[in-house]
Amino acid sequence: MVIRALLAVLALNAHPLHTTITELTEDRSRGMVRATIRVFADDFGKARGERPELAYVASRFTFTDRAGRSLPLHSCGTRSTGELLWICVEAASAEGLAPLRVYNVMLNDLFDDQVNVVQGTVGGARRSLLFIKGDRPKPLA
Amino acid sequence: MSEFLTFAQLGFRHIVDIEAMDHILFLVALAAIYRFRDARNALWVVTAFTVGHSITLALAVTGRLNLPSALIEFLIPVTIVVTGVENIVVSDRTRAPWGGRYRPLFAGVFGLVHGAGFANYLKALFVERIAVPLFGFNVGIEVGQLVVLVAAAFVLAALDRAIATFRLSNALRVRVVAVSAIVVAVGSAWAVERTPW
Repeated sequence: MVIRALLAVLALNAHPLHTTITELTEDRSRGMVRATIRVFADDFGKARGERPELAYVASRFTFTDRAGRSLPLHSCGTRSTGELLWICVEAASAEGLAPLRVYNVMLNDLFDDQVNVVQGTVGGARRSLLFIKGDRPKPLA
Repeated sequence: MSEFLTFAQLGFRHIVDIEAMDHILFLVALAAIYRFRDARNALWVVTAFTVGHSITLALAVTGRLNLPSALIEFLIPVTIVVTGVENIVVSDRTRAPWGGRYRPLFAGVFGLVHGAGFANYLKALFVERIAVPLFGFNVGIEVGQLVVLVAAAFVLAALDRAIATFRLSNALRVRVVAVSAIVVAVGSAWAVERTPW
């Protein structure tokens, strides 16, 4: 047992931070809410595999309205800086972010220790949510 | 949840995760020579380690220091090996240079290396609004380290009780050498694996 534990420890390599950071914004004039998800490109590539980018994101990230319906997501572009991808998705929400629930389990299918941070400003106050494997949708307000 | 608490939780989860075993093993190497009655000395060493890694973390994340990640990932297990070897070589701390009081300095310098290890990931993610996330993450790391150290202290105390059943004349020395030998073996394997050249 001790030898098995030692071998398991030896198998560990440099410890990456399995985290994404998402910034939420709202555009009341267009009736849209936007999520910009910062994710390490190599991890994202492994997680989505052959699936289209938006299909993978929509399966792991949702905005849910008061009635519990997931809002359809639309891509608003992706850019890369260094090792990071900045994935932008939008959804229609006339009331902005306040009434919505957010769910973000990006890359939890790849890493058990994945932690996703979602942040936004709602009603003038800065809010933060933290998602780990098994979490449910959470209100931002 | 506040931004500070979110990132504190992120830092805490990062340090107590099994994937952070290199940092955990370094903390075990630092703690291996102490007993509960030496808590004050241990606290000085851990505080120095904290100061060291906070400095590099802040400098690297704010872009004032740019360190090659391959070299840092190699140096982290080297700090583990050196700490383990020091534990084994210095059998009588009262006769060591400076009465063995160089250990906080030693921990502080190695803390600089460990902080750089975190920084390379955080630098990529923290693009704007750095101050609160960085401070929160660092506080979470510190709390996580204290939890790891308390857990290590209990495991070491249990080991002492097991060794005591053999009625050896210097049980503490046996514990220090045994724990440090394992730490050195694992750290050496990681260092070889991560050699950047």
